[in-house]
Amino acid sequence: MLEISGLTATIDGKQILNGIDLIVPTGEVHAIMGPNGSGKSTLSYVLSGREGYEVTGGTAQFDGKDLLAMTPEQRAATGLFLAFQYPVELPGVNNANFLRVALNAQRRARGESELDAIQFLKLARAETKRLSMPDDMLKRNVNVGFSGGEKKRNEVLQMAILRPRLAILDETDSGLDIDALKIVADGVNALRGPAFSALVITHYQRLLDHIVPDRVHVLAGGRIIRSGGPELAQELEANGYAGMVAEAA
Amino acid sequence: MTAAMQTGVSAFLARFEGLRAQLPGDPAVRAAAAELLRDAGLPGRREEAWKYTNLRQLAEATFHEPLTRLDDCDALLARLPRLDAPRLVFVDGRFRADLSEVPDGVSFEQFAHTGDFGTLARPERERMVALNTMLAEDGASIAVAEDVDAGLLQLISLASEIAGRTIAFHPRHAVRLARGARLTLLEISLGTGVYLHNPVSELHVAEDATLVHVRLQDESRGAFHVSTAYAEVAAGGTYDSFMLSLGARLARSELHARLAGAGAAVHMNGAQLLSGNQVADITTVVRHDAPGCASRQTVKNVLAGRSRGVFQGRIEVARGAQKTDGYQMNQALLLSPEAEIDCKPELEIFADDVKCSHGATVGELDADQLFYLRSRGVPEAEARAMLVRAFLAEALDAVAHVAAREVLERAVSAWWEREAA
Amino acid sequence: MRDENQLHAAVVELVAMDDAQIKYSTVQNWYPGDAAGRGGIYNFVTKRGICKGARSKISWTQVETGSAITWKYPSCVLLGEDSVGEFYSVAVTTNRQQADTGTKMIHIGKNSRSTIVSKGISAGRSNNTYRGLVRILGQAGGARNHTQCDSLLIGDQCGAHTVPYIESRNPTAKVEHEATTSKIGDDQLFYCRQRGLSEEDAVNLIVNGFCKEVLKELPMEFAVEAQKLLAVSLEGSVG
Repeated sequence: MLEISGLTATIDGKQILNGIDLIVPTGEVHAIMGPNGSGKSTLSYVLSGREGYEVTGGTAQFDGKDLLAMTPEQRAATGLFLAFQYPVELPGVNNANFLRVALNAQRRARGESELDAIQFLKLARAETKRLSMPDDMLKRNVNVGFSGGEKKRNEVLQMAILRPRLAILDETDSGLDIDALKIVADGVNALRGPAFSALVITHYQRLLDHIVPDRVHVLAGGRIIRSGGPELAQELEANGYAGMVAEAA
Repeated sequence: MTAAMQTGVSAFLARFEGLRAQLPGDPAVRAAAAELLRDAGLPGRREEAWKYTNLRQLAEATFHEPLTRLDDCDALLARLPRLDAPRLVFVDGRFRADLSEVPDGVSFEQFAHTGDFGTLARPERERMVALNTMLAEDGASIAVAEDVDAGLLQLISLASEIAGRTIAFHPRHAVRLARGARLTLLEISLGTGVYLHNPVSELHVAEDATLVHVRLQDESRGAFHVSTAYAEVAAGGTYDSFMLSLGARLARSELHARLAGAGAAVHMNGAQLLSGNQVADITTVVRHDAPGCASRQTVKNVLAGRSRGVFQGRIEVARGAQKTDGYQMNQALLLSPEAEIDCKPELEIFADDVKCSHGATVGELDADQLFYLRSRGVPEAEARAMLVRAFLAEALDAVAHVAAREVLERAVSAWWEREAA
Repeated sequence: MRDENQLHAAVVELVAMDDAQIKYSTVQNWYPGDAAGRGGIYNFVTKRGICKGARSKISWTQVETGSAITWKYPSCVLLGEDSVGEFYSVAVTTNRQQADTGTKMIHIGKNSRSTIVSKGISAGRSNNTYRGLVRILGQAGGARNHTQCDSLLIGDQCGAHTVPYIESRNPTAKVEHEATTSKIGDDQLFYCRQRGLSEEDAVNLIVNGFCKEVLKELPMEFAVEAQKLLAVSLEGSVG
């Protein structure tokens, strides 16, 4: 379970998060929607531990553990996965090798046994196939020369192989065509179950047609101004953010 | 030092002895420069900075001082572009008020009156600058006041050999832009016969000021042109320079730019168009001494006949000059089996958070492009000319000032007609 | 004894006749001196090769992590028609090390080709220089060279320098040179750490990726050693 309480954060002294309260129970998928500049990406970076974001108040716990006290890699080993809005290129670093090093580092941190090259490759190929992705995805260098859609699919492939317990998808739908959108949604839906939760951050409702959330939260001005069921997303799509933001202000 | 380099310098030293009582400025500065030259001679190829350019021909030539009565320069004046902009004309290195139109909005003084050697030139490092320091008689000292946009100003050097009397002159120019000032300086060198033109310029660009410096070196094919410019750019300032090198038997254009304040920018673009036995050398050093500065440089060489082009470009990033963005590109086109290019792009970097890159390509015209044009019916010679001119046009695109760019384009066209003839 | 300097001054000469190929790989890990720059080997090595025969090939591959000072410029005279010269280099310097290394490719034979790939990694207070010459003589019609020099800086007290000399006298020859300088991106480090890698492992992974073009030229067992050597050499240079 992810529990965020009174979370405030700044970038270069500028307040971006103004007191976030949010609970995502284990097994649930929640969506966070909001206009540009509402703090959506900041929330995902603060939860995953990126430098340059200063937490000035509040708490964030995952299964009772204080996320904010951990390094980024410790959070990853705890089961937190961030699907980046802009996945980073790593020239010369082979995707399969990268994932094996990452998976084994996480397993080691959790006291589990490491996978050897053959075990890993079997797992990686199976996931690639299940997601209908080409085999060479694993052989290529991490995100180097990938199209925008390929980068997002690679994030989903990484998620499938690393098997997180909490996935944060930061505008993973931006710049995707409908086919790619479906692949991303299938990837998330396949992981859904009693031990998996997800925070789907998006600007538009269309991703939520494919990943139906248990709850929808509206983020504006660095705080959650409304929460509701999936119908809230429909309402936003029909009426836009402006009215709701004005009402909350 | 070889005998030629020593002999070459002794004639200059002798001239200095004859003239020294009449020369403007601090005599101690000149004496120190003379001492350097006496000890080390003219720069030779054993010195890294002169590895690719041999001054032996210059050292072996005999130069005289310019005549006091200057010859008629109508023929040269007729070659100048007709621009609606003020101009400062120097003939054989001396200011000619009768040919000049002194601009409004800028202050102008002659070096012959101020004798001010400035602060940027480094005669102890660059011995052609020492030669200039020892013998400089005149030059333009230009200043633009705070927030003044002085528009376009032409600085013109004409030179002529009269009755086999070869001359040498060493102008000393300075341009000072105060905070927020703006100036486009179009510097043109023309001449006939054999002579040495050895100018030294210093260019001060204060905070948020912009100096656009467009240079056309179209000296006589018998001339020696060795120019050295020093630019210093303060925070938020821009120095945007372009050098088109067409003339001279031997040309060396050296430019040292220092980015001294945060957010300063330098552009040092250029092109060489050479044929016959010409040798032309573009040597630049850009030093990033402050964080967050950008430098951009593209130099193109087109080399025909038995000509030789040299490009040496160094980007230096000092410790602490973080967030530096440096880019440099040299592209050379060899049009003849006897032409040669020597290129040395250097990076010297002492800060880690920087983005610096350089590239160099050497080759002939692209065979696919040539074939494409020919398959559309363009005869080979025309297709070649078209591609070379496109290559140069791309370089000239860096000159944003329309009138200045037109001057360069016309010079390229005239060069082309002369070569074709 | 450890505070003193020792000299290593080897000479290697290679000759390749018609259709012959030579691949010469070096992994150099001499004592580099201590953190303050006391002691260490002066590694001043002369390595040169001539591709005498038609279609001959000489390939130099080196991984230089040791020595207080390295000066080394393995070169190829490409005399034979269609001969090939290659230079693949990784040089890592930390603490107060200095590496000044590169190659000379002298193109004489028609259609001779050369490839230069140099990866320099500087950390600590070290200085790392690529210095190289590509010379195309008049008779080397159709010659080709491609040079790629990349520098990676780790920390703000080190230096990375690139000094290529390019001389061409043949219009049908084609020479291309590219060089870049950068540091490991904060976004790259964070991406790796989000996937569970420690900072040190992330740096190793990125550095290995940076050097991959060169490491893949090494024989397999050398490549494994070289990767470990890179990790050991850079231990403690980050953070």
